[in-house]
Amino acid sequence: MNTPKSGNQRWRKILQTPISDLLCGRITGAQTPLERQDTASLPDSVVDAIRAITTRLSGRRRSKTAQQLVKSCKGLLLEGCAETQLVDQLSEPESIAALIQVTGKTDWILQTPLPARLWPTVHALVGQKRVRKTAARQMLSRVCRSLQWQLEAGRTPETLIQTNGDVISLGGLMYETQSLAPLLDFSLPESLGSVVLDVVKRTRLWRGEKLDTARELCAHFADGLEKGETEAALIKSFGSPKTAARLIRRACLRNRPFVWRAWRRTWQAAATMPAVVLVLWTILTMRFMVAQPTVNFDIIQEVDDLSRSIPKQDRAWPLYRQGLTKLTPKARENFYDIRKALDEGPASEHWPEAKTFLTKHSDALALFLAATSRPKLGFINRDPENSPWLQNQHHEASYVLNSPDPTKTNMSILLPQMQDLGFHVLPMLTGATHLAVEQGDKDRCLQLQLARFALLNHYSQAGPYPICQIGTNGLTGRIAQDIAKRVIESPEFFDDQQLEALFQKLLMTQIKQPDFRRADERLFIDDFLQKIYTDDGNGNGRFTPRGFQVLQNLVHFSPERQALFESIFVVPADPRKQETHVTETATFDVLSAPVAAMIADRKEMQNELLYLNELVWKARINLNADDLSAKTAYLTEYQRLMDSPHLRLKYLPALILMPDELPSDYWTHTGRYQVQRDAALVLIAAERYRRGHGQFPQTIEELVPKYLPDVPIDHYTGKPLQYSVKDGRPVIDSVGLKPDEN
Amino acid sequence: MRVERELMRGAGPVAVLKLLEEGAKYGYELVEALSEQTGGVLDMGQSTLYPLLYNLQSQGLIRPSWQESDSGRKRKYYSLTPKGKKRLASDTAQWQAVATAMQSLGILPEALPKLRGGEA
Repeated sequence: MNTPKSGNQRWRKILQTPISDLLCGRITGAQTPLERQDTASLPDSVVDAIRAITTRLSGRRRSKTAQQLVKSCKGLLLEGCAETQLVDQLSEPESIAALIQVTGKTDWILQTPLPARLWPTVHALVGQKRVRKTAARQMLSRVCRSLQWQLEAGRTPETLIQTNGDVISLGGLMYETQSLAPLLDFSLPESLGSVVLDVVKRTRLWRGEKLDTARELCAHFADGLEKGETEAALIKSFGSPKTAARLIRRACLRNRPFVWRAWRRTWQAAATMPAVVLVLWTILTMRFMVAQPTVNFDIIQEVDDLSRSIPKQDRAWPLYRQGLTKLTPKARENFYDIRKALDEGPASEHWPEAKTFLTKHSDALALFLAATSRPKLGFINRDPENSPWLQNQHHEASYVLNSPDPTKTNMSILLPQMQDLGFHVLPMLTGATHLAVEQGDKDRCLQLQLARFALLNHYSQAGPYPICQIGTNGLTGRIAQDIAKRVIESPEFFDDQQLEALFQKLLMTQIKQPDFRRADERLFIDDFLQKIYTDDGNGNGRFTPRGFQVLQNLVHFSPERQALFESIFVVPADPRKQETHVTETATFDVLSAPVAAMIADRKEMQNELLYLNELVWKARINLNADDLSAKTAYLTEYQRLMDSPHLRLKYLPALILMPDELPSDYWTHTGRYQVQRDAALVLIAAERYRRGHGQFPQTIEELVPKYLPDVPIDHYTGKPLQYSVKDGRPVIDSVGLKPDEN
Repeated sequence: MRVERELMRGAGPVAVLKLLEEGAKYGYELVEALSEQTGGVLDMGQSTLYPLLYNLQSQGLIRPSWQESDSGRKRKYYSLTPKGKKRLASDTAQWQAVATAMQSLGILPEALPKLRGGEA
């Protein structure tokens, strides 16, 4: 029954036997590392001493230590070393095992000629916590050497044990300063040693500097003790180790070589700069990202509210709109030639088609005529009833014309009503006038002429924008010339009453200078600013992320300004990336906040914009004047901002909003239209004079005051209009009446 | 009586230089001398004294040297350099001017009591 059990034990023993023994034919079973060594030649006392050490170790360290100690002891015995001496050297197994654990070495035990009773002292000095093996080995070597020197100098092991045995701080100081001997001069109690160690550790100085400091502080405390001071009093009078360490470090750094200090400062700056930049960038970006514009007013809404306040029966726009929707898209497509014929009348080769068009769209014409009889235009941008008209005539899918959009400024306002009044309604009324003349229908002709004046009034009400007044002035000049031509070519067409009616209507129709200052300030600049800046309630604010979207929308109007905008954000000039929005690029993400911080605040920007606006309109109004100062003043100011990198960034929105050149004198034709209107008045007055006197007046002054309130001044000469009678007809000569080369 | 830190910052270095004028001294000796000769007015913690000494050293006003004491233990002695002597003369003149000005204002009495071994 016991056979299987004893068989198992045998197999277990075989399995636990090291392979080296098995190869030698020995079945030894499990063995301690020391048992695996050949200790036959060693005395039992030595083996016991080795065992006392190895049993305190574990793992690979244990077997390696056993192997090395057995080997060393064998060698020393062969060299003649006494057994008792070996046993004595290994007689502090606990300290020896701990030192082996700390240093990972065993050779020092038998090679260092220190008495074994010093090993606990060595262990107290070297066996500090959290010390690397390499450092521990170095310290072990230093400590052994130092103790050996002191023994050689005559100090007894007992003295050394008494001096250093309990001082843990001395070990710490030794690690900090990498030296022991200079510190052994001072037999400081642990409390004072700890203060020195604390200060030295905190200074984070070079080892030499630490040693110097440690020695000086040790000497200081030793002096104090010598003078009879207590430990507590010395510690108290020393002050805070933390403060001492900080001040000592600062002073010691000042004592270091200039090259080192310069190098340190350079590195500090190099390391600090990115951190400072990063912190600044983060602050700027957070501040920038939370900035939101406050839109306080919506000019379109205000315009619509004004129109809604007009009684419905006084609003002309619904009738115009009704008439316009009767113009089919097909008719609109072929309208260009017909429009020209409608303007020119029978002289045009397309006049027959124009007449057919008028006949075909007589219902629309009737609606237009009815509309001109109403006093106000009453156009509402955001009116759902505009939807069919917008879809038919302008392909606008939405009925919300000029819907509220915080990323668009009034630069983007659409005026389709103005376009249709000028491009469709007026030509049809003009063509109908020509047709009435052709048919000899004077009353119809007068009715249509007066309707054209009424249309002018509606046209000027298309919106409170300078462009509306400028367009009205242009149309007034054209209508005045048409009437003057009719009166000169067919003097007898209108009777006296009709002529008087036309004269009075034309006299009441004023050519008005657009009020740029007031209108622009509100409509463009304020609207622009409220959409790109925050509002702090005092009229000031900072640039917002949406401001860049507004600028992005604006730069599409000009390649130069697009290039300016893109140059700020270093977008590569790659044609393939033309479609890339700057505000979607990585460079924009990084640079937008710093750039926004450099852009002028709202008040500064408003002041600069108002100034530029004033200059630009002065320049436009005086474009034809001999004095070029107004023109150059604007361009000089614009260029001043462009030339300075700082100002270019600071006033980037202004540079994008304002023109970089002065365009054609389209804006300044007010004088020309004034001459056209005044000339027509003079010619009608001259015809009325002829009817009363049988001949035309020889001078313009003869018309005043009965036929003309006063003598008109020629805008181009500053003198009375040049009037004469040639070939029996009155003639007025002025630059404003000559064809415009532009 | 404790002196305000700012005043101490101005008075400390010149006091140390003055003490070293008599001859080389080590740290603890300076502490004792400062305490005794100023009646404790310029008594400074050693955590302040040693950095002050290192600062004077970095300015080249004092020079340290390790010397063996009578007990056989080494001490770090500080002595005035020529530059330190000049600075002491200059600082002394300035302090005298300040003291005279204070006397003129009646802040300091005409005859100043000698501080040694206790407060005035």
